[in-house]
Amino acid sequence: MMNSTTKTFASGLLWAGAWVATAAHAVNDLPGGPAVRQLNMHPPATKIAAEQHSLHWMMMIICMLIFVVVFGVMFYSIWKHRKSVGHKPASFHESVKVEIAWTVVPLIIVVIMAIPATRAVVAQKDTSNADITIKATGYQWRWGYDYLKGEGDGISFISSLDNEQRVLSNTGAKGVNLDNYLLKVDNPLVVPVNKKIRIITTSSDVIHAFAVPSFGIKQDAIPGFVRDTWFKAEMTGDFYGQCQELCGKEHAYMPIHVKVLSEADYSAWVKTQQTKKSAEAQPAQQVAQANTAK
Amino acid sequence: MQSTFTRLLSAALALLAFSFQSANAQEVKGNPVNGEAKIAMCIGCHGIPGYQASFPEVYKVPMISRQSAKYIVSSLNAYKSGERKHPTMRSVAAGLSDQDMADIAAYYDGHGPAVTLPEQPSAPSARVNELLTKGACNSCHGANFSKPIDASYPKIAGQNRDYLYIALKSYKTDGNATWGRSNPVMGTIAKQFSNAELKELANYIGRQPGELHVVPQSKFR
Amino acid sequence: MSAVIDSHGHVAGHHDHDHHHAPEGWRRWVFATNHKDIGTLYLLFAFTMLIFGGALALLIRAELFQPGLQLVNPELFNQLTTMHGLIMVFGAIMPAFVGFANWMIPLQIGAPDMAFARMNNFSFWLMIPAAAMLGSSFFMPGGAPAAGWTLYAPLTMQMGPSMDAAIFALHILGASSIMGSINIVVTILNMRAPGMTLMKMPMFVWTWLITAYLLIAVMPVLAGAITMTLTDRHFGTTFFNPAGGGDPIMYQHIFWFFGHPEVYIMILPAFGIVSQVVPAFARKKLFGYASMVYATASIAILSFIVWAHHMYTTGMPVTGQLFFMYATMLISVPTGVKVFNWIATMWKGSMTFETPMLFAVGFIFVFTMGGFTGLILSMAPIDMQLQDGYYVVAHFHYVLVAGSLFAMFSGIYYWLPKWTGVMYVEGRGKLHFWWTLISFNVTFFPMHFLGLAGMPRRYADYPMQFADFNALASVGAFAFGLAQVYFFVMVILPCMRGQGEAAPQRPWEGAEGLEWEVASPAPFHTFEVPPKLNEDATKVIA
Repeated sequence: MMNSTTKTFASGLLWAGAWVATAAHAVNDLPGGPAVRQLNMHPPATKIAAEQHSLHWMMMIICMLIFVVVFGVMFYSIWKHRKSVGHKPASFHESVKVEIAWTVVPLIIVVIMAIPATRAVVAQKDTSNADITIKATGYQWRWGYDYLKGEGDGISFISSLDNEQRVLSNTGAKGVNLDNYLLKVDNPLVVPVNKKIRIITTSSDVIHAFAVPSFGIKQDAIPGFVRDTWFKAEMTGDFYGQCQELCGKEHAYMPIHVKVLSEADYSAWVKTQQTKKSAEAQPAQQVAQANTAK
Repeated sequence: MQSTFTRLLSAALALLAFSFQSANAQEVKGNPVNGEAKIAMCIGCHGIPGYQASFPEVYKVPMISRQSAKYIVSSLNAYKSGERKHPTMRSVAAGLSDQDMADIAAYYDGHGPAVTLPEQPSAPSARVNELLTKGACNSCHGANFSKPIDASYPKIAGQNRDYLYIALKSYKTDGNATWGRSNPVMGTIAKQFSNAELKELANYIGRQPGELHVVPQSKFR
Repeated sequence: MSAVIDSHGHVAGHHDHDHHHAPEGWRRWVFATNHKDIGTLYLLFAFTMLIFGGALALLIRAELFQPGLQLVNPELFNQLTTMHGLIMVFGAIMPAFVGFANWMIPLQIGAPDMAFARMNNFSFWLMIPAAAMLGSSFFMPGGAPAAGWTLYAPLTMQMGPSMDAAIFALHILGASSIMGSINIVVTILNMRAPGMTLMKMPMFVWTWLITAYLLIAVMPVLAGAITMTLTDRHFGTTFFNPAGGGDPIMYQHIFWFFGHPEVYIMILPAFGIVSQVVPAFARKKLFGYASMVYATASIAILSFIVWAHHMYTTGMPVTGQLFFMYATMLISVPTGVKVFNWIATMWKGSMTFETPMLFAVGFIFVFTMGGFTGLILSMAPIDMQLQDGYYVVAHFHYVLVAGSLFAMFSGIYYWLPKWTGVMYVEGRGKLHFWWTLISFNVTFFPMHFLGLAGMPRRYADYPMQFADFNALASVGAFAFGLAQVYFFVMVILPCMRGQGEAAPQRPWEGAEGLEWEVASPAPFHTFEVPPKLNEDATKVIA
């Protein structure tokens, strides 16, 4: 009985191992997006994200220190205070002093942790004096961007996942190595570098969430309500995020791609968009205007 | 005897008229096979039995399998242009080219079991009959409400009742920035009725046997 | 089956009540009013739900093994994640702890049974139609509900008829929980043997007393939230619809006002079990008994004021975020006190590491890891990165699986001799422990990295850079599932069938408590007459 069980178990492991070997997709890191076997948060592109990084490191270090100390004690005890090495049990079972100590000390540690966290919370919420304000509307299942204030206001477009990638997902993505799989959109959100961008989020159907990890932002997009968040990108480049609130069947298929351009490039982009707009004179644009005027 | 010029002119005009007529139909022919690759987003609402829209009102999403292709295309264009105001549907239509719309429409036109319907609908109550006569619904949508006189008019028999009501109500909605439909024909018709009457109409037509279905995607790949 | 029926009352010298014919066959189970039988029913039901929920999890992990959709379509995937959560929370963890409560509370306080024996029966049997409704929802038009176990509005407005079935099932499960909790509170407060004051009760009883109050307080809140969802869906109300003046975020507030105490409901009895097991195997009294009671009560009270840490990204004002952040960080203090007390119990004890102790120590170690990730998540700025991602999934599986489930395994191995009269094979228990511990960590540790890297949860498909850790987690998941099948087939079943070495009355040398004062297996009726207890209410003295 033991033998055949072990054999089945071993062959199962072998199978699993073979399976795992074929599973690896040989993709590269995506700058501004996920890296292969990434262990920590995205490299920060804003001060807020950098602050989140340091907060996280602080928490990790404190927690790991406490962990090592506490479980060092526990494993020491497991080793030394065993019946099999002849240790006899002591009889103490309470101590008010000790209880007070290990209530007060963690309390102090927790208060110390809270101080930098408070600073970060307050900074994250301050959306005043933005250079550009953009409304991000969550739809099922794509994002719509309306530039409301600042350079580029009036620009409006929908940003959807590239349909080829959606079809690829359906086919099981076999043998495919795409660095921006499920992150490629037709119309990325374009913003200038080093400018405070205020993102207003809302939705037209269910709750979605607008998130860009490199910027350290995440904000729910709630139907019938407006919320906001802000970021100030400190480097140019492409940055990616995905919808972060379950919104139905295609929740995994509504990515966010933010293109941060230099101020000159941004102005050039704005000009092309506005020329395109006036050339097409889309009625859809007027609906968007009416929406934004609401 | 017509001068050469007149002949040429009439030929030109006829050609022009002909090309306007068939511009949409000839230019873009929908391919249902290509359509199948484009409908992932559609299935999320229209391919799940019992699925509902949630904002601003809760109602079942319309069944679109076996709806006529031309109507689907014209609806999508209406969403795209803003003639029909519906932010989520507009966002769907905005990303679709004419070819995409034709492919998707062709797919849904042939999607699901074909059903033969009785020529006449079930007998309406006296009250509903009055409303039907006032609205002259069957004059465009067909005697059994599933044989529209033009392919760009929808089959409505058996459509979800709450959706029919919401659609009829939205034809009445004017001047709202975010919601409403501004179809001149349906607008005039719908505005004749109170909401309660529209509800009765919707309930009656939705209860008729219809060709429309929701065909769920298979659960497993 | 467990709990031998013995129609001769077993308390020495008493022969009353010995001629009512103990029921046999199906009637024994359908009309069960005996707390041991009902406890067994709950435990077996919970295990069945664990396997069902586990199968759903394996389907999820099989799909997530590689990027791309290979097995299921995204709508079914959302149904799987939703039902996995609902079944595990409401069908596996909660009923299992109620099963422990039923079996052990009367034994541990020297009571003959629960206060309301027939209501106890009703509480259990209500769960069966509810579970059937939940399970069969997969076959309803539109499939099972697919809005996440948290059932956020307005997505729940969009679901088909299975959402209504789920709401109904949750109502029934809630009613069952409330009735069970009332039973537990009344039993504990009124039926303790003379001499067992509140501060001499076993910790397991204390934790259940507090948990029962939490349940009574918050299950009605869940009922409110899901009833409002139901009326919004069908009766024209707009509680959660902004177009009618409502607010989707209000749903989240109401839900999490239930939801946060709910997760403490799922862990406090686990703390209670560990507080029984560690002293037994360290052969030393629990360190700081009073402190443990106060810490448990503090955790319960604090659990009411932290709910919005699940909602940091909804857009609440700064003061709100700060308040909830501080309150949540505060809960780590009494929890830490408990961990320190357990370790102080072990310190300078005389420990042996039979399977119950292995799971208890494993619990302390791995649950604390989950506690630390919870502390990290409680920091609102960090939560901005991690909310709704795999870091959260890792955190709650660490505290619920490595927490609640490990504690349950510890309790099962600890009390199985009392329940069945038979000793499990120690080698198999150890194998189960190591297999479970290792495969659990292989499954869930990589999820921390996925979460930090930004992988969102409830995703059927993901960018390819996440592939390796997902593959690893999937392999671990299957190994973990297999371990539990092994557990049932090689440990539980033989014991239930009475195959194994006969268990002594007190199989664990250091174990204290009234449950060890009765025979193994525990007779059908125990403590029919209140026992006379010694000074610290741990032994019967005639």
